[in-house]
Amino acid sequence: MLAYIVRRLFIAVPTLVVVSAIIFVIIQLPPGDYLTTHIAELQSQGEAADSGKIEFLRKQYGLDQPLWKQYGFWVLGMLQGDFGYSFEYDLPVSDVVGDRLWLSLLLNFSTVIFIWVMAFPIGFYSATHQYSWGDHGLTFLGFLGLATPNFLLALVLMYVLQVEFGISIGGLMDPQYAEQPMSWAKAVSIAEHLIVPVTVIGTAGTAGMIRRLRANLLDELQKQYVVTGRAKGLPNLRLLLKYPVRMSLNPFIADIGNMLPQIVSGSAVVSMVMSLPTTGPMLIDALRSQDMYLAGSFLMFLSLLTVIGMLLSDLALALLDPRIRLGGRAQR
Amino acid sequence: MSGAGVALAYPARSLWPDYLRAAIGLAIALLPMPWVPPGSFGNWLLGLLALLFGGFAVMTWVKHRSTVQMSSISIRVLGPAGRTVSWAALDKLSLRFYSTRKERGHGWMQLKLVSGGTTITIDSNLDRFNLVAARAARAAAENALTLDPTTLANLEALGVWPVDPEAER
Repeated sequence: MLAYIVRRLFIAVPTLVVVSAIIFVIIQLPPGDYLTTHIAELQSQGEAADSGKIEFLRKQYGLDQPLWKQYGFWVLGMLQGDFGYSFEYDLPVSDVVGDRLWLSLLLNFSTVIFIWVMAFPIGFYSATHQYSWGDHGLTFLGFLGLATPNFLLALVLMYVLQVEFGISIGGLMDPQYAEQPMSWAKAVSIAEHLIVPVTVIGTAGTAGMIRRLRANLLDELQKQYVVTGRAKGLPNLRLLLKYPVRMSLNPFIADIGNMLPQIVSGSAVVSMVMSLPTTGPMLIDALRSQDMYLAGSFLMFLSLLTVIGMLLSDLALALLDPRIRLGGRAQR
Repeated sequence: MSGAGVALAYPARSLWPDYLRAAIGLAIALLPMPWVPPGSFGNWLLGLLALLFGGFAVMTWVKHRSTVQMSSISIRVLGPAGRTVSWAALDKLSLRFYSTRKERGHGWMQLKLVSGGTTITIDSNLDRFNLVAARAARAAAENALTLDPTTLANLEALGVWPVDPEAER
């Protein structure tokens, strides 16, 4: 297994290096930099920009350096825990980001857990009760979930809860906790506020996962070993749980890698609609204003999250099902 | 197979890519160390990576220095981590397949033989790995071991299961 971990890491680490280079180049692609955007803003407001000061700031922020040098400083800084300086906020990136990174992590992690917890029993029931009323009903709900855009569901829920029940569901905690350090009351408030965004972001993923689990389990249930097990009189639940369910879980785990980018991008839009203090809205603002170190740090964090998610899913899959595929070929 | 058995080794050409992986991994982990503050998260992360790639380098070296001697009675690994498993005392056999590619191609197999407290692990880049897998499968059948579905599927894929009763003992 160590060989597998090392070889898999050997893919993950260069991936992150390449991703960091691509992120940096893409952020630099629009013409100009943060300072030219800032000058344009000042001019549109009728204010004159002091060219001496602009040159000083350009030197101060290292924007006069070649691209590769700026990239090198940024990457080395990240390894030291220094994510650079936010031009727009005039603060170090780590101070600007504050709790947003871990709140995003919490939101995305909770969504993955929600998808698993909801999809597993429903997919299991749908497959073992194929073409029953329950299966048809859950399939209908699943398609409805797949077809409903996250932001629309968020708007509808916000409207219904506000107008019909007088409950405000914006934000990730009650306003009085926003500037306070973590406490039990704050944790409870976050947990309460997580329910709606997690449901909204997780609905489409849950619906997709139910369909996949149902299809995989149905495939497994038709295999000979299941028929043999039944013929030998194995109790139904034990027979199901022993192999077919285990085998049909493979795509469940393998899908984490595909699910994470969707969840992360979906949560950015939902966060804007629901005013969640996560990385999404700040990332979009940073990209708009070419606040390159802030935007780059967010994108690196999201990439790291995705790469780690895929690494963990591959490791779990290697543990769960180290079988050769007939299409695959072992080196001898 | 004769009573004297056969001696098998890991060909150097199959181990050089692993040495290269270990070296590059160690370089990635160790080179930035001087610029990372001691005790920081980055420091711990790089340290962990260095440990992992270092362990992999040692594991590859152990394989490089090892020879597998297989006879009709036992299988023996000679080298830095030498040990012996008698076929008659084989308690557990598992055959795993690993691949880092999505389509599960270009992977490798790992055969684990357990007898009492002794475990021998053999990778599929060993010369004539199929021969070892076939002998292990025969021993498992003779000892009436229960093999898990993954091992059975992998043995079948290698073409050594079900065991051929006519095959040379």
